[in-house]
Amino acid sequence: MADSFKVQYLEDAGLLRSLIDKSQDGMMLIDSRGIVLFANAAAIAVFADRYDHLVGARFEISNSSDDMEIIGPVREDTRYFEMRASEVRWRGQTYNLAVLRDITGRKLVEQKLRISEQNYRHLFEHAALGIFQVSLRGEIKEANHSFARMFGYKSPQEMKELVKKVDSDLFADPSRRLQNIRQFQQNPAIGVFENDYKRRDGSVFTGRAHLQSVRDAQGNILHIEGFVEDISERRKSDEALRKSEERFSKVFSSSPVGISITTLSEGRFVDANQAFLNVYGYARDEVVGHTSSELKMWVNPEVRDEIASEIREKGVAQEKEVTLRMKSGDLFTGIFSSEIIEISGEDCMIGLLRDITDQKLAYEARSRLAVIVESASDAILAKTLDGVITAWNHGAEILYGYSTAEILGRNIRSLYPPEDVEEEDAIIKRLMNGETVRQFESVRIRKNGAPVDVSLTISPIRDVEGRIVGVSQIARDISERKKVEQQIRSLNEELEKRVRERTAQLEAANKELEAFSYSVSHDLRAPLRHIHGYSDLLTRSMEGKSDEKELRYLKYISDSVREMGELIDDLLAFSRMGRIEMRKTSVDLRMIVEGVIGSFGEEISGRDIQWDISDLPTVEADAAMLRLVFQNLLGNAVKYTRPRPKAIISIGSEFRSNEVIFSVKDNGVGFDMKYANNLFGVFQRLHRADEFEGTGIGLANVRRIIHRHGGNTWAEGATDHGATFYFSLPYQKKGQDGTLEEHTSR
Amino acid sequence: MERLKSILLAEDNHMDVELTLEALGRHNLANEVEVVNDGAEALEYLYRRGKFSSRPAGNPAVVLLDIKMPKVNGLEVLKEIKGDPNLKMMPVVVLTSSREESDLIRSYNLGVNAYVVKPLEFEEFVTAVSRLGVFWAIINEPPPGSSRGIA
Amino acid sequence: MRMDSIRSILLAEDNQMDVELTLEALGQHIFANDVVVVGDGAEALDYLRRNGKYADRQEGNPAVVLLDLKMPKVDGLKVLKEIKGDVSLRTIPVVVLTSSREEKDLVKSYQLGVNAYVVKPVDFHDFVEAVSKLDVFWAIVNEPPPARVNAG
Repeated sequence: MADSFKVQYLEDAGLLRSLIDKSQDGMMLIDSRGIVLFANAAAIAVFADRYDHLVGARFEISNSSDDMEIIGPVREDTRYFEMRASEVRWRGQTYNLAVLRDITGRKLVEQKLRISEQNYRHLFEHAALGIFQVSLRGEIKEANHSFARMFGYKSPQEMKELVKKVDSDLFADPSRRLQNIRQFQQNPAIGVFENDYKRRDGSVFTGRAHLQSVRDAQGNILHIEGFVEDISERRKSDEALRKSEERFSKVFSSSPVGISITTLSEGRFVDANQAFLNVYGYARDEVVGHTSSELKMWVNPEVRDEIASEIREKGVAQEKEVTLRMKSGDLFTGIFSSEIIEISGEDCMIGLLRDITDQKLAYEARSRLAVIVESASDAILAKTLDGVITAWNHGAEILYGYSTAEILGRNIRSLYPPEDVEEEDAIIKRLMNGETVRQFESVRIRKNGAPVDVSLTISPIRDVEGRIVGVSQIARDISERKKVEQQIRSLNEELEKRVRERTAQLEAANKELEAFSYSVSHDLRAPLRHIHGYSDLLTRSMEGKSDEKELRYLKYISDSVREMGELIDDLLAFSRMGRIEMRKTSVDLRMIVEGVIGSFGEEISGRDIQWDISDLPTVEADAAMLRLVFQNLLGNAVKYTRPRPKAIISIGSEFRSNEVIFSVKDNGVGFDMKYANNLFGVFQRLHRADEFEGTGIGLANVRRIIHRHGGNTWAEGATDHGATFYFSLPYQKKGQDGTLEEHTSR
Repeated sequence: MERLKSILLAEDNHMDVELTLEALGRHNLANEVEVVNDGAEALEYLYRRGKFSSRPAGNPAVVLLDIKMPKVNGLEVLKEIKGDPNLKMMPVVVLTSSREESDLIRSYNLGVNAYVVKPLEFEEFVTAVSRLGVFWAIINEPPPGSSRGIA
Repeated sequence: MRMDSIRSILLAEDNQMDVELTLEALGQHIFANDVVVVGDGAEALDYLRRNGKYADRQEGNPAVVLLDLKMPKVDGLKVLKEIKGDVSLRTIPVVVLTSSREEKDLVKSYQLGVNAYVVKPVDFHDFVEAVSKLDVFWAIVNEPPPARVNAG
């Protein structure tokens, strides 16, 4: 059937013609002269611009091979055609059949490819990455500039020349390359190897090689290509990053400040450091995974919400004073600062918590102190070492009259009286020696110019290192005290003045008395002497002529003068006794008594007197005065026992607490006790002169002497039953306690 | 017995002068006594001034000096005498009514040669003055330059 | 009324015969036990200053010192000078009692402040007479200074 169809179509020239005309390719039949005999529609269209009538036109066909390319622009846009000419024989004649195929599309693709190739090359040459192609054996086939430079070579050419085998020339450890390739062969998925590479100068860098293999049909590697990046720097920064993370972690864990990380939304704890846990008193497990509201940490949960929204808005929330609840339920005050961070895609807040309970307490303590200082009635101020006033309390305002606002910044020296300003330097000097100046009394000037007496306590203020950086000064107004002191002083002065006046009066009186006795001794005695002298002369001149009566008168005159002379002498002696200076020495009274008895001589001759003398102490006294005392007392005893056939005179002493009492007892005529008070008066006599002689001054002298020694005198007696005269003297016992009996007489 | 040496008696009270001369006279000692009536006159005598400017040179063998005298008292005269190099060696005996201790001490400190208290009773007075006179006018050897009377 | 006890006489004389004659002459008026006799000037000063064997004697100056000029160890002028140069002794009356009439001694003694100067008469009767008169004056008539004198 095929044959029949074939014959049929071949015979139908019209059909053929139609096929040729409809062909996309251009077809031309050219004779040996080069004249176009036939051209189909497509061919006419290709050459429409050059040939008005293609058929019949002469068309040069280059005599090349089967595959000829006819390149030529057709119409406005350049199109590329491929022309294939083949010889056909028809009817003995050779013809060329040229077929034109539009290859513009292919050409454009080829062109694009070529540009791309160029670009690639450029990239290859100039890329920052070191790109290479190395044979399996280790010869460099291709290398770009970066690769060469990375390894310390000037150019790829130089590198290719110098590097014979990359294993030993480029690897720090030559065996590494083979290991890489073996791993690569076994598992082509692994394409990245990190190695230490060796530069031309021998230095080493860490590089990361991304490998690609080119293999044959059997899968054997023909060569290896890829690129290497120097990762030394990145290594370093990776290390730094790791370290910084470590540090952060350390800071986090060891920070004395409590740090917590919670989710922003619900406050669930992601982590918390030890300081944070310590503040609250929780263990880590009790916190992580729980929310702060579960733990009831916020006394006012809305505060947390406020902080959270502030963080959402601004990213940070700083220095919030918050009151928080510990595990124990106790509350504490903290300062909370927080920032937003993202952890695993979730917004979290990292919060720093400072427990300021102590600070708060310290602040409160300070406030309390401040209140005390402020309300103290003492003036309290602080100043710098230069004297600039830096603090000033209410007491200071009152004391000095300056308000705090007025005085702060002014110099302390403005409070000094101008003449005392250097006192400040002296005070500072003492303070710098670490001294505190206490109760220093001085004068300051008030704002109104009035001086005020103050007692100052001044102490150094030290900084944390102990350096003296300022001075505190407490001043107390002592004006009142000073006033009282002044009053006391003037009272004392007044008193002293009065004492002086009295003393002066007494001295004047004493002087007058002295002048009086001086006059008496001279002026009273002289006339007496004259009376006596002239009466004597008169007696002489009247001798033989005078009668008895006249002689008796003259004798009375003479006796009276003698008596008056004695009175004057005794009175003068008594007066002198009160004035003369006492000379106290150790006086052995037994010696005095024996001496006095020994001096009686004539007076006691022919008398029967029994002297009973007990132990007598040694006392501190004026010896001459005490001798006079015993002269009088013993003399009286001798005198008033004169009527007794046998006189018994006892002298004794007795110790009392602070005194020693002496007694002189006799068995004489005694006296009536109702006159006892008169005994020691001046010129007081209990007996008539014709009974017992005497002026009556003796006992007055005794009393005066004993009084001057700080003692006393008294007497006991009864008429006709003897008398006992006592006197006491102050006595300092010298460790003689319990030995009083030894000294007790009678 | 030796020749009497001259005595200067300084005494303001004429009764005392009379009684003293009476006492000296009883022992024949009154011949060479020169009497002056106060301290000023005593110094005039000793320095040969005023009414004594023409008296012969020479100091008395002893000066008997009362303390209580008008104008210049005895102690002032004593001080003058004992402070003067030309007179200081001349014996001075204070002859007074009183034994006031202040006078006594003052006199001895000023360098008096003796101090005699006139006794009240006349016999005693006579005895004391005569003994004084005997000692100073006869027994004592006065310093050179003293004037001597005629026995 | 006298506060002082009876005051002694200090006789500084090295010649035993003179001592006896003097005591004899004194005896008419004065108890012999009131006379203290020292044999030379050194002893006289010891007595006055309560030194040496007189350290324990009772306090108080004698009423008068009768001083021989010619004495061993420390002579009379030296003793006189010591006494008159000592504030606590200078008021004690000192009577020089000497056999010499040498003007040199006389002047020297008065210059040193002697209270009286007595030349012992050669004739025994005169001697007794003189000593007796001397003693009577100094022991009885003269009022001695206070037994103690404050230095001030």
